[in-house]
Amino acid sequence: MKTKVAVIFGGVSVEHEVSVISALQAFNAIDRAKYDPVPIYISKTKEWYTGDVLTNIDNYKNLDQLFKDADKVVLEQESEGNIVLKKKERSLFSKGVITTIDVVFPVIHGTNGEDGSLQGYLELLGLPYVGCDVASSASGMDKVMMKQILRDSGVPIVDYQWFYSNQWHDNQEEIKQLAEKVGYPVIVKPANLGSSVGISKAANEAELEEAIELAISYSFKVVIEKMVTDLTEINCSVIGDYEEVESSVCEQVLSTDEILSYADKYQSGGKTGDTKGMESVNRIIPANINEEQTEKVKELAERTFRLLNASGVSRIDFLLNPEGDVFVNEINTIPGSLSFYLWEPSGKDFEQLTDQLIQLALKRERERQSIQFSIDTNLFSLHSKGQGTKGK
Amino acid sequence: MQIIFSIVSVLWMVYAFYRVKQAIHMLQLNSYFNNRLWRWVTEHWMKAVPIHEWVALVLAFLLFLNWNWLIFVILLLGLFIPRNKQEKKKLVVTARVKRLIVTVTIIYLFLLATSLHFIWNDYPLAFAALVIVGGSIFTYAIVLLANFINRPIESGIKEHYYKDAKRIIDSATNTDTIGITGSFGKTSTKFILDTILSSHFNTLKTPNSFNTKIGVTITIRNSLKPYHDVFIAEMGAKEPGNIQEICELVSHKYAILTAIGEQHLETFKTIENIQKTKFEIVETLPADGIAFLNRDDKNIMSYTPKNPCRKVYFAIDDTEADYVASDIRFHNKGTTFRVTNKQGTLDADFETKLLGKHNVYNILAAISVAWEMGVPLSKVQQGVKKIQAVKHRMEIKKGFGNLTVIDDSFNSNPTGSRMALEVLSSMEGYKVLVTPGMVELGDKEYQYNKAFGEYAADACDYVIVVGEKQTKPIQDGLRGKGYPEEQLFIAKDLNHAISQIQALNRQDAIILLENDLPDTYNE
Repeated sequence: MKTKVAVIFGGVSVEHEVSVISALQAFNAIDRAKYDPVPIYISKTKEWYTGDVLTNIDNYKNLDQLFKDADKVVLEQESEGNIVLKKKERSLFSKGVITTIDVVFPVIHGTNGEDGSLQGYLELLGLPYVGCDVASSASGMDKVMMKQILRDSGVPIVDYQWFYSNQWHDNQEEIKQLAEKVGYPVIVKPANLGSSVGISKAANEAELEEAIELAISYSFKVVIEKMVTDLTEINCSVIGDYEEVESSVCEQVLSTDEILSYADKYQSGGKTGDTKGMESVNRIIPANINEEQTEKVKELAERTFRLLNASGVSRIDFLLNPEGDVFVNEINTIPGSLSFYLWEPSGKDFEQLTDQLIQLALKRERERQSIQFSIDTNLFSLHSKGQGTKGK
Repeated sequence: MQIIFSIVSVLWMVYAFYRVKQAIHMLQLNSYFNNRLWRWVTEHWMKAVPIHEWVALVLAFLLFLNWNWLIFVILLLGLFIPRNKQEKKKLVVTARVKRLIVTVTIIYLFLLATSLHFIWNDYPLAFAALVIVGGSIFTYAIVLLANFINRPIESGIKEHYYKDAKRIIDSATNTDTIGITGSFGKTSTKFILDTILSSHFNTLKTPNSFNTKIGVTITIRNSLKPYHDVFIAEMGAKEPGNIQEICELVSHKYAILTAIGEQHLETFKTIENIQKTKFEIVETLPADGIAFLNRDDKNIMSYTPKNPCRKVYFAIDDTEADYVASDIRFHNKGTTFRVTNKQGTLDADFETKLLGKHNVYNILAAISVAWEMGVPLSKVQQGVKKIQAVKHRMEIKKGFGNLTVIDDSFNSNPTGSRMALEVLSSMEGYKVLVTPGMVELGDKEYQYNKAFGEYAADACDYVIVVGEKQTKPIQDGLRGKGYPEEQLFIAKDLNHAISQIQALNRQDAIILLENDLPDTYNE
């Protein structure tokens, strides 16, 4: 008897394809002696599929065929609290149950998977799941919320302003002043997308307009950030939960442009279709920074992780300016390739990583159960007992 | 007339259905034991066979005298007078109940066929009437019969469940099972152990006081997941062999024996039989298993287990034990104590909200197991801190204007009450006892309450008794010991007592609420 782990991936997100790559990497890494992984693929049209065909990346080249070969499924609660994966189209005499599910391992980047929505669904079903819970996923995904939480605790972040897209339509001057306040050159980002989609830099007003128009096509909330020139980009991964955290070695991201573009990030190598995920980006591991800076980055990474009440594995991205100041740029609560390439040099192979993540999910589940059991009725009972007798 | 009687016969089936439902419900409440239901029936004849059925029987006989059949029919229809009664615990339509209904239905269809046969073959109408009335009067007998007929099927199904549970737990190779038994403290120890171990492992325990083979089977089939590292099974014994059966099912690796007392001595006849039964949990351990035994319990120590597996002893009084709790201190936050082990790998202080020496035993047993299983010290200590008191059982809280309250209001036995006073007397503060006295103790009620008053005289700085008349024995006990009158207060009801507590105005007060304080005792 092995624990059934549903790896959920794909999803309605600009990072759909990246998610498929990350998920299949994780799927293959899961220890088969302890776990029995089940692939669940969410198509771009929000339909859920399962089947062995989903475990081979080549099959995704022809999606029509893939959908024919895979089964459309739903998760359903059974009477004893068990959750089962059921076929959506079942024959008259079959209940269509494919398997029970014990734990879910979400590997969806970006919207509808990394932002708390999937987590909320799993929460309602009562299934333990890997990674951040609803609130920390949501605050990690929304760059404005994340910055507000970090700034509130004095974690160094670059200056920024933010606005809603309708404000831009109503009063462009006002928004341009926000950019002035931050000071050119700036980076304009949609607030709630992962990856680098919709991000551009602006050195002046004209570029700003263009950058904002691009950003608002991806999000109603837009961030204008001070651009760090001659920056060094450092990433560090953190694993754990509120009680115990551990940070990985740091990586230095090399890119030709100032901003790591979507193409850079996921299609390096140039050939489209030869997507290898995050680990194939040009990078230096460990990062070429001094020991003091490494310590600083690791410490800030762990602090950020805890401040956002993250769980599982996250990657925290940093910006270093030439003076050596360190700024937290963002957190990825479901990082590309689950940051396994940062953990391998830290002495934790991908199999150990996935095992630890599943165990963390089970730990949170049992802690939640113990909390629900220990709600106190306390003193009201004592007092109402007294008042009850008074009334008679 | 034949047609009317046929209709009556069919209508009668509807009535019979309600009666059968009632009978099956009673059978379920009696755990499907025919002998228990039979005992209930013999004690509640009037409920098992309602009076109007006897009337109907008499009328059925009168039909032999060619009495007007119309009266019989009318009376029979009177059976349908709805009787609404509130049921505390509703009938649960389980698969077993459904199978029982099938068997009962077959029997009734047979009776119906017989009745119709009499009606349409020109037998005296009384024949059919007797079948109908008899079918009603003997409802319980028919249900008992059906239960008897179904017995082989049911035991077959049970056997299938056992096998299935055995298959599940045998395939869960990552799961270690801990068995807990003992004459008392086993349920508490189970909850405490689960609280401590779950800080480090994925655990599953049998819920509430599920402690039979079928209870363990249900837990395994419904709740055991492959990721559970530890399964904690409470094992109870009603007769010799019970524990062994459960042990063989779960193949446990660890066994905890909390205590052996003289509970259920009537069923077991001798203390040796009780020892032997409880020790089944140790005898069935594998060679690499570990037994955790209470060294302070004389009935445990006087028995020599044949199993050569490792035994780990825990104790408070016997300092030779492997795990020893010492420096036990009760205070207004609970209990603190120190635990050391013989190997010298453990020497640490523990804090818990629980009170009382018996709880220290339960926690100590759990600490020994956790330590042997390799739970880190900080997690064991945190786990011990997290243990919740059972409501109204030596439960520490704040009340009556931020005073320390020990709520022991669910306690109703002399031993427990005395223990509560012992804990109170060892605490620092202004010790106040609030009690309405113990009830339902039979002949010795006066004696027990008086003795309780005598202990209280030594233990308390102030005593509030609730209810003038009923607390007379306690007052006698206190006065017999020369307890100062100005430290005794006789309250009319709980509210009166509360206002007196507030009037005392002692911020260092520790208030022990002993025994139940319901409204009925107001005088």
